[in-house]
Amino acid sequence: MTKDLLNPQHSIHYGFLTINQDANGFFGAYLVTNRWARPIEFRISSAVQPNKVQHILYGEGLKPFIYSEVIAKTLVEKSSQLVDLVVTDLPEVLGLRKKLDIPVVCLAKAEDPVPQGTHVIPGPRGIGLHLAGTTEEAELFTSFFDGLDIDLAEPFIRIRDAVQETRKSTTRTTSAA
Amino acid sequence: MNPHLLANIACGEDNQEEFPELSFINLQLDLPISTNNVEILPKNGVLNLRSFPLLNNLPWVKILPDLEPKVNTECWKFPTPQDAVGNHATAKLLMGSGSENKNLESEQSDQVEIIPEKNLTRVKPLKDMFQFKERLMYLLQPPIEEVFTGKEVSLPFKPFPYQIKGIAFLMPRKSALIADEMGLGKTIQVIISIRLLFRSGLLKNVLIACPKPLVINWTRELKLWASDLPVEVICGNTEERKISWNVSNTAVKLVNYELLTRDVLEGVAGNNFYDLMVIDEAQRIKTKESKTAQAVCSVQRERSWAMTGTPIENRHDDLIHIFEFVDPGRVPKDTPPKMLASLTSESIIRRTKEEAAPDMPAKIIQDIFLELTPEQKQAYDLAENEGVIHLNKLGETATVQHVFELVMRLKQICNFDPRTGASSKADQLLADMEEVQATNSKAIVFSQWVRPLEELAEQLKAYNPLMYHGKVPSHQRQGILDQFKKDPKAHVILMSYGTGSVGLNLQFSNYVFLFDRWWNPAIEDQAINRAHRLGQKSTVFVKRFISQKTIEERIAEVLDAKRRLFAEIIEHSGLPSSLGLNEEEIFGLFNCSPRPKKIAA
Repeated sequence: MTKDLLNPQHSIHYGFLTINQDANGFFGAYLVTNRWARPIEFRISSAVQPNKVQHILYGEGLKPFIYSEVIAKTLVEKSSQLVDLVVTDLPEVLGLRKKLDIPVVCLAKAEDPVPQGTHVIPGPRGIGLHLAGTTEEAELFTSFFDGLDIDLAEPFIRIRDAVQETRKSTTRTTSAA
Repeated sequence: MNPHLLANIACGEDNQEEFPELSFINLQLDLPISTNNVEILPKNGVLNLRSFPLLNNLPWVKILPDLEPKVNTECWKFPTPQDAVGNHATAKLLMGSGSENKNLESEQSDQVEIIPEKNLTRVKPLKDMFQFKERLMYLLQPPIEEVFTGKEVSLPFKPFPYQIKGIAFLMPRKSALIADEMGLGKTIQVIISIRLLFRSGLLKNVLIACPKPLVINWTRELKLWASDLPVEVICGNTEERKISWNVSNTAVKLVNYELLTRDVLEGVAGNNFYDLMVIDEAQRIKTKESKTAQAVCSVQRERSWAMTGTPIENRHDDLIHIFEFVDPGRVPKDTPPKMLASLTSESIIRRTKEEAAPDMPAKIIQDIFLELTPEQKQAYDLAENEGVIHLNKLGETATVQHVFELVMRLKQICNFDPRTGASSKADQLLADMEEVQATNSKAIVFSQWVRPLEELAEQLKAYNPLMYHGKVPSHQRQGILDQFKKDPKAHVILMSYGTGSVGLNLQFSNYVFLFDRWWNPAIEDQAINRAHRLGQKSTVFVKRFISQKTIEERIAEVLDAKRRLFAEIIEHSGLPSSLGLNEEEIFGLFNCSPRPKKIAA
């Protein structure tokens, strides 16, 4: 799938995935877009509140487990649109790559530590990326991002607004009920 | 989950106090024991069969939560956006095409412009947008600037910030009236909005209705600003139009009001449904009982956008009737004027030039391509054919003077038909003057000749025209200029290039109409700069009238090419006087070669 990226005729799809936390726990939001970051599908998850047993069982690995294996994996798998790349703003989601055959990149600043097993690659518009994937994928995406004109950070602002809207809507619905 | 694991779980922090003995259990049994029955496991690890009935019974059962958290998801799917790759090369070509928007100084460049988040314009869902999915869809659209800075949508020029706001206003609206003052680029805003909605997958078919003389202009603007959108002009005989209306699935259909009215009322237009219908110069439907208004309002559509610089020409009813199209039923017919604003404000966007360009008054030049009237066309064709035949007869004896005479003759016909006085330019000017008067502005009209100015003076009597040309005695001239400045009823001054283009300060005028084109664009610039100069407080709107498919269009092309060439070579150093046409170019207007020069012996 990823090899088609360099084919200009290939319809590229991105999945922008982030996870937030509120009083009810962790919840994920996933925006599937076309190559120009235009929305195709938006999906949010229910909140996950880990219990004490899970805290004991997973210890420090709980957060990455909930982020990548529980929330992110479910969101991506349930989506009706296959994506060529998952973009996240959270390093904990990079573990998704071990569960699904889709490259995952995380927006990164220069000073951010490089998570184990990831490649540092230059993203579009000079943004730094940590890629969870093979060396071949790292080379492929380096070529792919070279000259690509898209702001990979911007869709997360839209996701934030959309999440707020869904929260408002839920509140309204609950109040009405 | 096997019992061995359960035993280990039971040793956890929570349960050690309550069941310390469980830590010794090491069961290897393959029994259907679940987390529900861990607490009844025997101390010695040997299960007593009598214990089994208790396995699932309270109060002996302590329920442990799921070890693997489960999540549900909720999903919203949106119309599939277009995925075409933007054509940046086209944008570059268009940037150099010398189009009517060359005054827009900002240019696209290969270097990506990073715009701070606070300066980005996002499409916002409307207050009355009740469908949650629809609200989400607009919230999740990329910011408008991002569309242009990336290569998704190529534009010949970057829109002004107020135009981007206009696009953000239009995009989510099903009912909209864009009422910006003339010259602020309503057409551009509408076209880009249409284009972006197509890109988002929210539009599939659009019908645009406009006055007949503007069809050409719309076609050109659509080509310039949305070259990827297929456009069909509805015209031809009844059968051809029937096919255009009912068989063709072209994305954008363009029709003039007369044909639309006829075809709707006679059933030729069919009963088609449009995702969007746009009406330009919407004051055309201000009379509710008119056939035009009835026809326009009867077209089935999802979105209704109207465009006009003068939404209220005479009475407030004008706006009510326009809203019969924009949002049927929103404004009751007897609504008092005081109530109008509250009923319509959500759907209207209007910016004045002062609002649009608060710091430096801009100069916005528009080329208005007009079709000759049938009378003009007949006279023009006859004169051109005879002229070319005459030139051919002259052969090598033809001089530049001969060609020049023919060009002048043809240009005069482009202004007015010599026999009937018909003029598409005068018609357009009369229409534009309505807005000049409505906005209490003043206009300057330039022509190469005095005769057309005299003809125009007759037609523009309602606007108290003043004349300023070579036949006006010198001692009267200053008085005329003073009157033009001070008399609030004098809305237009008619000037010849020769007399009026240099040395006058007319910055209290902000409309300039070039009724015909001068040979040299530098002279035109000087004329325009009578209004666009220091002290000008408003944006100056310049309209250059060009008769389509005539010598004027060919001259304009040559001059534009020369202007571009010089701009590239001598940037910022002004335009040299040689910008006018040389002998070879004048002959070239008729595909003729200049007479060979004699070689000195």
